[in-house]
Parts: sequence; structure tokens; C-alpha cells
Amino acid sequence: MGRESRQEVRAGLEANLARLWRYGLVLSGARDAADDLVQATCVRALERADQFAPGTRIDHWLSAILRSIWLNEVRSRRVRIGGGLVDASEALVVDGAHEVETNIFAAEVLRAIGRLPEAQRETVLLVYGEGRSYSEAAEMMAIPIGTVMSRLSAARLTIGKLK
Amino acid sequence: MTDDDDALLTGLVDNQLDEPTKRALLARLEAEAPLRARLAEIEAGGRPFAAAFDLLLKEAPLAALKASLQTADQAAPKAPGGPFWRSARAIAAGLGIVVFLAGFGLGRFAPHGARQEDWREAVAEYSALYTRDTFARVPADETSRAAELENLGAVLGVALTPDKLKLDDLALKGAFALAYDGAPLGQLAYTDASGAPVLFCILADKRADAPPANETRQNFALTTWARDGRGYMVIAQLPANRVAEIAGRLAQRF
Repeated sequence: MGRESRQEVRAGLEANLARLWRYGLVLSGARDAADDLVQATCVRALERADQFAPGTRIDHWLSAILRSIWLNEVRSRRVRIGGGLVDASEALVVDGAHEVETNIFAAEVLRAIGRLPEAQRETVLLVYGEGRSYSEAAEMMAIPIGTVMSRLSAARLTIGKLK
Repeated sequence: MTDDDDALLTGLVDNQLDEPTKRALLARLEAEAPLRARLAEIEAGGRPFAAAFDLLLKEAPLAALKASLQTADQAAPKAPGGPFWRSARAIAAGLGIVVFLAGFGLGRFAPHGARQEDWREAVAEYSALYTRDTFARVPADETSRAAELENLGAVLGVALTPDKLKLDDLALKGAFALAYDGAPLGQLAYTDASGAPVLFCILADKRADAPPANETRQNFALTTWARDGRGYMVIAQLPANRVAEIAGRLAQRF
């Protein structure tokens, strides 16, 4: 394993821990699962540091690893044990009581996002939360761009009807 | 109105359409009132999404995540699919418990480098990661718990049953199979009435018998003893006399 690539991946992990945890939380709707996913992502990314292409976005590479672990190893297990997949609205609740008014509003937005289906939550995070283009989000989720757009429109229409 | 129209209107709002598509859609909007109404609905679903998601960044348990990274960095094997990950995954699958905690323990105690550190210090180090929230949502499943205990007992070579481990004022939350310097290390996790974690650890390392001894490490009270080739420890962030009292009850059984 190249020492430089491992160091670059380690630095990338350290700089993106909170973002990865957020992605894990939005995907799983459960904080313990988000913890699991970040831990597993750290291990997997360091194991595969040689596969990271220097000069490319390490945050995207790490997110893809986390997503793969979620889909292939964690999600099905959580379905079997009946945990955390149905309603993420509680998991996306933050304590806004001590925050300024704008954050209270943001906390309400989070709660609304938490009620969306998993696929829409993820798409809203990638595009509106992380600022990815439609094509970047489509590539990450391995879906057509049209599906990204459909998910976003559905999410907007749902949230727009909320009072 | 079609789903495709909704998708296109969203692309327009997000400014992600290519120029020909955008021009065509703008022309349709000029001519079609229902399309304009739909655009208004989609625009109404706009929110400060980025600011909302930023709140979640502040919620991330950064200290614990950094500890997980540190452990992974020290323990990650040099080849994909190594024993660390397989073991962590197996524990998580078996127990439904937070992977990073088990992973931390495994990474910390894996025999990489033949670590000779005192097991009491090692246990105190990772116990510092536990909080009242760690076991707060672990369901009480008597059947699976008994199976966990049986499996762990087999690893440690000691009979572990719910009755033998029952403590009236503590709730048993999980049984973990770890290792310290190549020796099996079992951890029984309890919580008290306030939710404070109390750990009962068993190290099967063929050590000589020793009477109970009390000490304090890293804000933890510990009571340790050894019998029949196994070291035992009760550790918690509770008053020393409380930990010693809990250990005294377990020492009558182990």
C-alpha cells in the first residue's frame, strides 16, 4: 500500500467525518447506523487507499464507499432487525430551542426532509445539501439524471404542501 | 401535467437545464398557464436546504468519529477484507450493536504488535467512549441475550447464563467478544437506573488467582480479581464503593 495514498485518504477521512456521518444519518435515518457506517467507511477506505485516484474528489470517493456499505451490508441487516428504515423524521431532529430563529426554521426543514422516502432524502442531500450537480448526483446513485430530477420535484411538491 | 414536466420545472428552478431545453421550457411557460401554476408549486417547495443540512454537521459525534478513525488507521489490515472488518461485521450482525464500539475494541486489542499494555488501562481507555446514550436503545431480548451469553461463555471457557449474570439493580445490555493481546476478552455491558454504563469484563489469559483490588483510572473506578485462570473487572464512572459493591456480588459467582 502506498504510504502517500494512505496518508491522503486518512487526511480526507478526517476532514470529512462529519459530512460522512450526515450522509449515513440521512440514508439510514438512525444515528447508531450513521456511527456504524462512518467506522466501516474508515476501515474500508484505508484498506483500499491505493484505489483512490489522486486529483479526484476524495469526499465523493469516501461517500461512494459509505453508500456501498449501506446498500450492501447494513441496510438489509437493519431491515431484518426492524430498525430505523421507515421514518427518519425523528433522527433528523436537532435541538433548535437554544438556537437563533433561522436555525429553528432550518430544524423544521430537517424534520420535513426526514419524512421523505429514503431515495428522496438522499437526492435532496446530495444536490441541495452538498451542492452536487444533477449529473454528479446521478453518478453517485447510479441512476439516470431524469430520476434525480423526478426525486427532487417529488420532494419539493411534498415539502411545498407542508404548512 | 406529467412527471416529466415536474422534473423539467425542477431543473429550471435549480438552473441545471441545458440551454436548448431551458429555452423550450420557457417558451412553453409563456403559452401554458397550468405549467406556470405547476412551476409555482415546485418553487413553493424550496427551502434553505443547505442551511438545514449544515445543522446536522454540528450534531455529528466528532470526538467518537475521530477515535474510530484513529483505531481504523492503527488496525486496518494491509489487504482488503482483513480480520478486523470481518470480526467487526460479525459482531455487529450478531449483536445488532454499534459497530464502531466493537470495532474500536477489536482494533485496540487485536494482537498487532503484541501489545503488552495492562488490560486494565486498555479497558479504561475504550470505556471512556461509552455514554448513557450508548446502550439506551438496545432492546431487551431475552432469547437472543441468552444465545449471546452462551456463545461468549464458550469463547471464554466459563458458563455464562442470564441468571448467573443477573444483578437486580442493573440491566444487562449486551455481551461482546473481544480480544486483548491474543487472549479472549468478554465484556458484559450493564446500565444502572440512571443509564450509566457498568462493564463487567472477563479476560481468559490463564493468570494466577488474585483477590479483589480497587483502583481509579481515567475517572473510572475499577475492581479487579482473578480466579481459575481468568481475570475479572468491573469498571464504571461511579463511586468506587458502588463499583466495589457490584464487583463483590459478581465475585461470589466468578
